Amino acid sequence: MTRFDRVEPRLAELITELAAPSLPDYTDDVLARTAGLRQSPRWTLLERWLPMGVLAQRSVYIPRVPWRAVIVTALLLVVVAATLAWIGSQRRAAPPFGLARNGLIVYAVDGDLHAYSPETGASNLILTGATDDFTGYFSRDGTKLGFLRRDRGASGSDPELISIQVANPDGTNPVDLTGPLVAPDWWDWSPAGDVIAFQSTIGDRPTLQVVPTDGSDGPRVLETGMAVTFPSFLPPNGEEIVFRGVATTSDGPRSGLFAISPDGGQPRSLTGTDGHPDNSYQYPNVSPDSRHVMYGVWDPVAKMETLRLLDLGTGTDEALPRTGAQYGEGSGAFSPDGSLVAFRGYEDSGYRLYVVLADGSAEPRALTGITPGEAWYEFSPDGKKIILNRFGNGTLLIDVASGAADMLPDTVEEPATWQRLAP
Amino acid sequence: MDQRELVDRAARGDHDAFAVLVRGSIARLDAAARLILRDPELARDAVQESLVRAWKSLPGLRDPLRFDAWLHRLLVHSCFDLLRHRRRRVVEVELDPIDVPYIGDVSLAIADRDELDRALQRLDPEWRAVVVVHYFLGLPLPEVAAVLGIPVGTAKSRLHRSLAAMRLTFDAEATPETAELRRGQLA
Repeated sequence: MTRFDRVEPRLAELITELAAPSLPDYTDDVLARTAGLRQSPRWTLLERWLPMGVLAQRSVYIPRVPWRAVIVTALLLVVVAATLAWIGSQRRAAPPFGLARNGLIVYAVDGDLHAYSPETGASNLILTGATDDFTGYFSRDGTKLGFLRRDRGASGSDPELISIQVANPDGTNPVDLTGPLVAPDWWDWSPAGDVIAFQSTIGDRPTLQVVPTDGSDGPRVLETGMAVTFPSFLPPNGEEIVFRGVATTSDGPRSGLFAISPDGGQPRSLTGTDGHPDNSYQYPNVSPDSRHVMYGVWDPVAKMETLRLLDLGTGTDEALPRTGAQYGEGSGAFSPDGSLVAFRGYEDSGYRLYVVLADGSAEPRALTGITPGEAWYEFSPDGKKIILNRFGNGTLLIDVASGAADMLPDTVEEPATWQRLAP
Repeated sequence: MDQRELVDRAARGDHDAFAVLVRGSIARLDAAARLILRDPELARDAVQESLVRAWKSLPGLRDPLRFDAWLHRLLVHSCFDLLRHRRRRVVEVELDPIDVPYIGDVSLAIADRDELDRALQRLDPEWRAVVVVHYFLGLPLPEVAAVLGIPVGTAKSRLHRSLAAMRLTFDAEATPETAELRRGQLA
């Protein structure tokens, strides 16, 4: 018998002696740190998506005029086109929906905002100082940068208050749009970039509000009579805000999907108000053509999540193709052109990120192995990549076609935002 | 209040419940991190990071009964993350060379423990993590695989190879002379 033969049966005991577990002296420090941190609601662990839409169809006018007029008109059109192109190149504004060119990726590290160029690999600090800024969110045309600012409550048991700010894409000229809010966990830019819709807690209820982005006025509550989460503008014009509502019914609190004008009024039901208050109609995400809403349903008994696609025109409601993942599939996000859906398949030890054709005509394809922890992801403006933030475990830029991945240079703890540029 | 109820309450934002959970688990987390990282300061960072992540993402925990396994997974990945990204020099904690007079089984136990310390130190962190999670945290191999995010076969293979490497360390140290000394027969 060798010495190790004698030791091996006692390995657990010896390792425990070696480790000598005892209450570490930093226990109170770590509890003070967590006490000052905002806990993410379950549905916001993915934070928010940018619901992208297709570019509105434009009619084409074919002139029927004599040749001389044609030539004159053509010359004029060239001049106009050149002028428009010059103006466009100056504004670098992207269409609000559909495919666009990839711009900068803005993310937060330790309360400062950084801008990363995927083209050059360079990262620059664009907003720094004593303020605690995080979760940037570009407007759909890429000309404005929204972000959150933690106002107080960084330690102790004070409630954490957060304001929504808007700045230029380079971080200059920040403007406080809302003042301090409680739990502004979801927000969305209007297609024109003139309004932000958001939820924040007033009393004990997440409440739908809108605020102009030029700083001309404060937030305005859109009274729905419900607890509102996941507000997002309906493509292509943002004439309505789609949201998940939990209302009090004769059967108790029930959830459903609704739409309301940004000007207010009576909410319109998109589904029945028949869902479980916590587990149904989660993560609603409107398709770019505004014909479908994708959402998740969690069955706590079967411990299975299902990703469903509701046709707003016909009312048909179908599950997306399954992957065989242990806890099902959820947290779907449309690509900018609406052709693909990215989602997670949940396993006991983490998740895999998948993509599938939005029409369900092919089997889902895994883009990652099993990845532990939480995640937030969205497609790049050109639809060719997915940015996958693994919350402290590295942020990947994954090529959708090949699965190859690059990594952002910094460790990012909050969702990043990818600027859309004119194609 | 049982752990499931504490996890449920903590997942709904009750920080007092989270504090109870932390106080019940932090000693083992700290010890496991020290074993894996071999550096008390890095271990402290890993435990803090894993508990911050735990607090922030607790509402997303699907099964409260899996809290311990989930927390262990966060810890192990914080350890690996620190090793990969912080690029700090890992200070190997090594006990003094064994120079202990024979006082029966006590010196034998100390010698075994010290030899084990050296054997663990010579393992790659990923292999060491398998040993620590299996023997110190007491998880069966399928759970070890889940915590480390690797297939069960890989966990088995890593454990087998780790034990083989540790055996080599013990055997190399146990030259006839020192082996006899440590058994006290010539002391």
